[in-house]
Amino acid sequence: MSPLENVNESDLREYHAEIHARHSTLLGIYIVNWLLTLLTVGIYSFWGKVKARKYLYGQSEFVGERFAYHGTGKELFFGFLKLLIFLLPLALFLIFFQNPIAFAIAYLGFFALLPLALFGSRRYQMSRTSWRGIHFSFRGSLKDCYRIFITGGLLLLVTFGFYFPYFRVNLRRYWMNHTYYGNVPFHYNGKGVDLFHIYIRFVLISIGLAVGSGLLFFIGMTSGKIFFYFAPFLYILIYLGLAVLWMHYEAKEYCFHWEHTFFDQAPFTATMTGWDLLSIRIKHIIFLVLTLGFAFAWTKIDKLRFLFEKTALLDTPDFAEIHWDERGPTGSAAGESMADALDVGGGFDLGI
Amino acid sequence: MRTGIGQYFDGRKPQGIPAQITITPDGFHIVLPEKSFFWPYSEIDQTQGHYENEPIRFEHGKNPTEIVIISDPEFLEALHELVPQGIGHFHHPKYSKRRHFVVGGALLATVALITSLYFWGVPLAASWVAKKIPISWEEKLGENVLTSLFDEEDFCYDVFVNQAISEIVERLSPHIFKIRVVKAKSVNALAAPGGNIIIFSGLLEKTTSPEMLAGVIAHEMEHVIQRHGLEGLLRDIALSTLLSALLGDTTGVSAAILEGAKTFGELDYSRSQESEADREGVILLIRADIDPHGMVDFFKMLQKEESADLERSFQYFSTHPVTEDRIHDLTKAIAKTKKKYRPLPYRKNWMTLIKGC
Repeated sequence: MSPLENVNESDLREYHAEIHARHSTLLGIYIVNWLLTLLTVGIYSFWGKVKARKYLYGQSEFVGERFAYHGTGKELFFGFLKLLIFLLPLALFLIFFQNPIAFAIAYLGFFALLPLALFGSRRYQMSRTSWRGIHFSFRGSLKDCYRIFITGGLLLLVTFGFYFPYFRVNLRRYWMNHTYYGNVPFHYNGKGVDLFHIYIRFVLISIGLAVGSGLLFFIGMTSGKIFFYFAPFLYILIYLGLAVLWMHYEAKEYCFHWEHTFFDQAPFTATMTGWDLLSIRIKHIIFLVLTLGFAFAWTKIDKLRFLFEKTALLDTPDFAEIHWDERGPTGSAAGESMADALDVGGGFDLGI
Repeated sequence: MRTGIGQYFDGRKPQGIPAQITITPDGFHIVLPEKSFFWPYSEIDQTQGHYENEPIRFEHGKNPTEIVIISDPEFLEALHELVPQGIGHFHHPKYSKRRHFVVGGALLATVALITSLYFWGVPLAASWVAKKIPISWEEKLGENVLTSLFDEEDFCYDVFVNQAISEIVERLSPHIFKIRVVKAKSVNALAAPGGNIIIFSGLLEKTTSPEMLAGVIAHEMEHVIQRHGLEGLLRDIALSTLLSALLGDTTGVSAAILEGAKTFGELDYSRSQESEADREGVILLIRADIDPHGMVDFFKMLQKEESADLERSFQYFSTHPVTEDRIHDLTKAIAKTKKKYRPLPYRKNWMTLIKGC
């Protein structure tokens, strides 16, 4: 229930973040990064990542002021070294002793490290992000993080995936309720059962599509050879149909999470639709293919612009209540490196 | 003196306070509605304002950090004009104008460096590292590769076939090679790291003399001796790392482009390695007093099996050099040596023996 339940939301002004970045500037940063990374055999990549991030944060504006990123290449580099001490012997062991038990341990290790990587990465990135001179922070406990993942993982198995929306809500609640701007926390009041009602509709439609296409194939195969010429196209059509369907779910889940998120008393709102998501992804794929991947700087900025347009804070926070809180933990860059190595994100789910 | 208008943030509260920032020879004199203070340049960091559309942000102190933000883009230029010394750590707008040249130069240098690394640097490094890796590690790797590819029932245990192969191997090389025949129709042979060579029964049945098989075995032995397998693996890892590091987090499209680029380039390495194995294999045969024409006869047999049009069209996409070229190169190399060779055993009943698998 919204803290502003007696206020008509249409009377509230929407505050969107804006991005002023130019893709030519970002591409230029990446090109120089590539050269220096090659010349330093990869060492400069950490400083390069920080440079690109500082640019994107500095070009993102909210209520008249820019965000700032305070991480350093040195922190990321030493974080990576800490991770390497652990990963390198494991990698060599797997390459030269291709043992099924070793692979099983590696897979288990990946899943065991996942919560730690996400936790560490979020803590680090929040502590290195500021707006109007006040830093964000993440104050969740690692124990709670593991509890959510282990319980969620087991329940997902036992329920054949039907627990998924509850898991997503629990995770979101954990990330948001422990994220602070200064001394003020974000707040999330979404309920698993509400997201489940949305989720189950998509599952039922998918099952319907799968059963329907199965019947269609069965009828087609008995109808004669001519069906075999159409079968591949039908298969692709059904696959694309399912992909588009789940993009709609993705958009609905995105809106659900943000519409149940608050900062101070102010609610967020989101207006993304499945068609929005589909059109931007097709646009990006086309540009990337036509430019052999060089348009990635443009797609990165465009994705941020898209997310900022679709997400807004209704009403500004009460700045008088917000102040710097020295209790905010600083976090270690090892978590950030781990998240990178495992290819998982950790900051705000805005793709920065 | 020059004064700019900006916003001051004390690092304790998010509200900005209007501020006047005056440039002095030693630092900023900052005036707020209720107080004023001085920041020496040596204690100030400029953290934003290096790019277009970006306000200039100066930071001072830690825990908390105070901030001054100036929107006037000409403030920095004025600062550098008025204070020539002691502010080298602040961005100079003239560098923004040179950025295009820097980026252009970096792009050219990057392309040149990547091309060099891709075609020369990585293969040389992989070759060097491969030779440093202990043989025992390579043997273990080879065994694991074979275990993952084949089951025990896939191998041929015919006594006569294995005996014939052992005698060929003994003539060719004093080193320990483990050669096994796999029951499969494929006309192929492969060399896994660590001295493990696999001959497919489909290839065995195409040979018409033990010298032809000796030619194939000599070729595969050279892949092992030159450590092409391990080199290929290391090159694969190095190329993946190089290309992935450059593009950072790969999207699905980038990943596909990377995989394609890597495969496209790798085929060329395989062709040069195949040529080396041909060349060195002939030398091995001659030293073992085995007629190297067997190798040539094998390629002629392969040529009959393949369609000429297919060869020419897909040359670049094949992992082996075009057979006609290999026949030509081998015939030319063999022609330089004129000697009589000692025949291999099992010649008379070869056609019966090879059906044992």
